[in-house]
Amino acid sequence: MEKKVYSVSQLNKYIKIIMDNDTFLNDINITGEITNFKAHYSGHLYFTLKDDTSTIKCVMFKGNAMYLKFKPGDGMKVVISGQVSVFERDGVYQIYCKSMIPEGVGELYIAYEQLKKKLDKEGLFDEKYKKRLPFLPNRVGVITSRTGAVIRDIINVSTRRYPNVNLLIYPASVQGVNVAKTVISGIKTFNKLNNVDVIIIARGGGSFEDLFGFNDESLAREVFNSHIPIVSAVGHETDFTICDFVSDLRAPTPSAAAELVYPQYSDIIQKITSDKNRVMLGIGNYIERKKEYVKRLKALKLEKVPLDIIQKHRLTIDSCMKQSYNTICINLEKYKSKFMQATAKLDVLSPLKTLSRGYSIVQNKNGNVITKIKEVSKNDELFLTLTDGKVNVIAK
Amino acid sequence: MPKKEVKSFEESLSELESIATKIEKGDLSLEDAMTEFEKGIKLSKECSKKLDEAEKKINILVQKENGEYEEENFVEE
Repeated sequence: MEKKVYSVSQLNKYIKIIMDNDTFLNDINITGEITNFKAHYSGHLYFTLKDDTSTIKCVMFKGNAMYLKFKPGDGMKVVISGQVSVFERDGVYQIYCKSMIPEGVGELYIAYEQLKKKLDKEGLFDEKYKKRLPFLPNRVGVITSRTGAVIRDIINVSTRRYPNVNLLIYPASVQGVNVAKTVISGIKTFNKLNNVDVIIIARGGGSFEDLFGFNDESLAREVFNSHIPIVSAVGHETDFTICDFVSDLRAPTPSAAAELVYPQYSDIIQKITSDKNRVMLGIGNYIERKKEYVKRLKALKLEKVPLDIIQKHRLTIDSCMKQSYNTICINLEKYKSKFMQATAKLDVLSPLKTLSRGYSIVQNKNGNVITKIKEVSKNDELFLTLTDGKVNVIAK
Repeated sequence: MPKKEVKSFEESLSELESIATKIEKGDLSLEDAMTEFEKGIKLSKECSKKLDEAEKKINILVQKENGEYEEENFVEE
């Protein structure tokens, strides 16, 4: 019986069918070192995986490569999951990689570090972009699982601090592949509805892998772009996620987030009361001080100063009076002595003195003084003035 | 933004504080002091009122078939 002759492509197709039907080769994990790494512009990755003695070609298509959480490169030791199959055209078998993780160091950790470095370099964690939380929020949006301890803790703690809390919950997936998607949707929804003034993104503690959904680049950018301030409370105190770094405030736990968002009711009441008391006491003291001031002013300026002025004027007047009096006295003395001198002189010249020596003054009836005989006729009536009076005589 | 009202509470509170400080300092004219005093008392009343008039409310957003969100009272499961 003559053997059938097959074409190359038929052979390759046959081998491919054989390999593809092999369950072992279909889903296999291989470890090795990357060499000849090429990232094609199409997004596919081509490289060779080798160990000490052998090599195998590998390809990772864009659809899988885009989910890589790190950047592969030559010399990197990795673990690949995928399928060994045949590339019919070239007649080579190779690994079609579905996923790849760095060996030794966790893939997630490297991815986390790389994303963190990248976003940090872009400035997404910069303090200057951090939005301030409202002192007392009107309403708080909470993005978390609708079941479990986290939402209960947030409700309990916030209500304990502030009895009249107003929370709006956006139910999100906090574990698995849908974390970023649902949390992003929550941020978008709150920003669109614009009905809360702060957002808490919360998740309870877990392993690094559990929290890994919060190390998503798109989620980080959504948090960064949110107009509403975001408090990130993912995991416990020691857990850090990209979401924590990019948020406006990181809370170590979901309960702590509730504390950061809601002020203690009694603190505010106390503050209001104390400020009110300060105002009341302040105005009381103020008025008291003003009264005191007016009193002092009155005593000092209104009463004392005019009195001082009067006193001063009084003194001036007194001194003027005194001066005037003195001047008058002096003048009086002067005139008195002048008068005395004059009187003495007059006394010497006085006709009375002459009369007392025996002379008399003769006057006619017209009062004219007679000094000569011819001025007198017979029987004229004459008046003689003597020292002590006048005498009527008739001339003969 | 719904921030306006919240801000006004915060502003009221800090204004109240600054009024208290201003009055305590005592370098205002009598008229100004009285105006500040009235403002302070009014603010303290407003702040207290604002604190007490809010009601406790815990809702959950539920997406309807048409994609719109509706609020429902949140009941723990």
